[in-house]
Amino acid sequence: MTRRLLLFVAFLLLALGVLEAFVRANGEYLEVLSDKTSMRIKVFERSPSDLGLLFIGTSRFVDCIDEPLFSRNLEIRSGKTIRALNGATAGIGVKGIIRFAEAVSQRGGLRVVVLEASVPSLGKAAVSSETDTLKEDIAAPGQDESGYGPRIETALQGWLADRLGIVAQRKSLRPASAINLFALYSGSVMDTTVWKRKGVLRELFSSSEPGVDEQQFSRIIPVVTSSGDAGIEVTEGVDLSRDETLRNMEQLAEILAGSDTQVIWVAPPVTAEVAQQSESGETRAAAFRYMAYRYGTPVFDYSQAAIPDDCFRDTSHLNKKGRILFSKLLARDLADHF
Amino acid sequence: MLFNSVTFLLLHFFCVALYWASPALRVRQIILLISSLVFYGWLYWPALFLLGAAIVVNYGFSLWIDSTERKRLVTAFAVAVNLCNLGWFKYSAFLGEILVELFDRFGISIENPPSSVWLPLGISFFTFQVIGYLVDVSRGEIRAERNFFVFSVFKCFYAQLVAGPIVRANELIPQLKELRKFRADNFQLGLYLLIAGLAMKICLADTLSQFVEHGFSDPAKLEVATAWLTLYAFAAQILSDFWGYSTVAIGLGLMYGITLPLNFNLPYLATSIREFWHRWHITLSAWLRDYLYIPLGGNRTGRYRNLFLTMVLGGIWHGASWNFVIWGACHGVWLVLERAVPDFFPKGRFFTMLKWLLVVNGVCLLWVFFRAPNIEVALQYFTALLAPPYTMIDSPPDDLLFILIGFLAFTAILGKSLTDRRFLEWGLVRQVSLTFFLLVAIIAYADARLDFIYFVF
Repeated sequence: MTRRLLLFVAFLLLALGVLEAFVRANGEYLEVLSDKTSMRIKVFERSPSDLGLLFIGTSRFVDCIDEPLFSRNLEIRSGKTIRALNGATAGIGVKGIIRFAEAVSQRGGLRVVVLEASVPSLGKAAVSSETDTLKEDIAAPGQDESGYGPRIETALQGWLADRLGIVAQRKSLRPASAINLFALYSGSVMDTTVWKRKGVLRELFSSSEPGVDEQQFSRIIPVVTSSGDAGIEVTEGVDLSRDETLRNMEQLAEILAGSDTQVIWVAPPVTAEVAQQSESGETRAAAFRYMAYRYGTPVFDYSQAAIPDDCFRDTSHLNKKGRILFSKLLARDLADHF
Repeated sequence: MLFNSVTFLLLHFFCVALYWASPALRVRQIILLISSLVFYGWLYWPALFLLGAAIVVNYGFSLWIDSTERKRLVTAFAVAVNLCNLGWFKYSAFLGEILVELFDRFGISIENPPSSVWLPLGISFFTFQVIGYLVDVSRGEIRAERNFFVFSVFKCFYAQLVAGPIVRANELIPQLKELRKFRADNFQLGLYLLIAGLAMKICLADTLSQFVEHGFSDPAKLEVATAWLTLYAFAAQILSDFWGYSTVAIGLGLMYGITLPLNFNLPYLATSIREFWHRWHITLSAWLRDYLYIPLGGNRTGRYRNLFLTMVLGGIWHGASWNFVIWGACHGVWLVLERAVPDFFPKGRFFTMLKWLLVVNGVCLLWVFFRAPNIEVALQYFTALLAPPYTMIDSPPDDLLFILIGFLAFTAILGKSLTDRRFLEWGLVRQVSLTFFLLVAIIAYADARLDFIYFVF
């Protein structure tokens, strides 16, 4: 029996050793699998060289854009075939968007990048994918880090993570990583967790294809701010010196300025009620004018556009009907840039 | 110390190595005693004073009971002292609230009576274990243990001190007094059970806990389908948590060559509530039967009353709140009804399946009282389970379905192997591959370490 025990332990250690070697050899990919933003960046990097348009934003953008529909309508409007990729990520914060922008700048060859201009996408912290509310880091429950016991435990875990790839990359060993791996290699599914989001499953099972009222469609016009509209006194009367959103927009614009990529800002729609409650309208408009003037990046603001309430799943996320409507609207409004 | 921590595992393996390296029985007993005290006092060392006092006092009581002619009187006194200790730490606040409310009914306003602000880990378990021991000595079923080290290890063996299984003296003490040789098969089985138990706790129970926490924090917001899913999630969580703990405990014991009693045996396969209690927390059920139900009169007089009272007291044992009283009472009523009303289901596979569905869903529904923080929330939860609109799942929580499927797969594939020694009969490839899979799962999900649910009981 002792021989059997020794063999059991030896084979177990051998299997763990093989896994450790595999993890170390594929660390770059495994790291990507366990991080949503990294994975989308990797999918973007692996995308075909003829990719012409990339969307970067939060869950609002995930819900706003139907890529094939957008591309078809853009082709109808502009007469050009443009391959588009929606790289929006539910729950991404400004840090993630900056990482994405850096990847765009390094890769080059992209014609247009459409960035989401909203508080969740440009705020300082990561956001909840459902509510777009800023969330604080939450400590692990029941852990009092001040005692010697927890300190020893934390130190031991850190020591193991520093030395063992399987501990450091443990999240990539979860079953969900297999789905992410599929997404990474197929490049066709950007957000493998999208089905978990509120209302998405219901939409998946609803067979009806919502139509778009053409008259209504023509009445929905965004507020467009382009460099030609803005003068030197774009921010007159508005103090933008402490506006963090603007600072983040500037940082993104500067990152992308080095590449040949045209940057377009799009403020996604919200319900009429939320639009009326917004108190920062003037500041935001000034920030958009400043960006258009300073960096030549046009802004399409749909937050005040008259998109009907039945197009929304909640106050700031579009439903299936809204997505179809908005994809067509965006193709119509961006067609001139291609 | 939490079983699901790196520190614990390292120290445990160190202690096991030291134990088997020691040729003398006394040294082994001291190693077990010291390691048990270190593990118990790791997070809050003042708790050792309470445990130490409980060991010394009960050691004295057992010798007294053994030597006196008035065994029943002394036993009653010793049991009362232990229950008072348990009552002070666990029930004083609850009893104080009842007292204040009672006086308030008569228009008399009183201050909250003093109560304990600290609940020692595992106090219900080690109190019940020692009460069982004292009663056994009193009944003459065993002699009081004279060796203080052996008695102390019986009282505080770290594998089962905090959350069971509740071990009988005649099961554990003879094993502690025997100088046994190292058996590789026991060690291998122990290692497997340790890994399988941790996998249940870390991969299933801890992952499910976040969904359950979310669901029970505000049941009014739950849709019907999500409420049901959360309910099943809790049923899976509490089983994975407690069965996981018990499996780890049995595994730890086996590494020392000590066999601890089985505490779970696929309880959700029961087709009657009686069978459920023969499969769920087996050592507590047996304890309640031997030291409560039978002394109350058992089947001889007032059978149904005894059964009901036993279950109500069993409910209160779990926690000091009306929820647990109702939970225990519901199980009591169900057990009484099952015995009083003859089984009217015809024989056959279909009706067995039907009975199983009724039992599983009934047990799950009663878990609402167990999990909800108070009766108000429990009632809100029942409303969420039944109230319209009957929409489909609008927002399935992250991974919940996957984890529930994982729970079913784990139970179906490995469940039986946690209840007997069949693991040792498997081929080496099967042993290694399954253990490896569990080990990788533990590493993959080892993020936040949560306490075991039964630590607070």
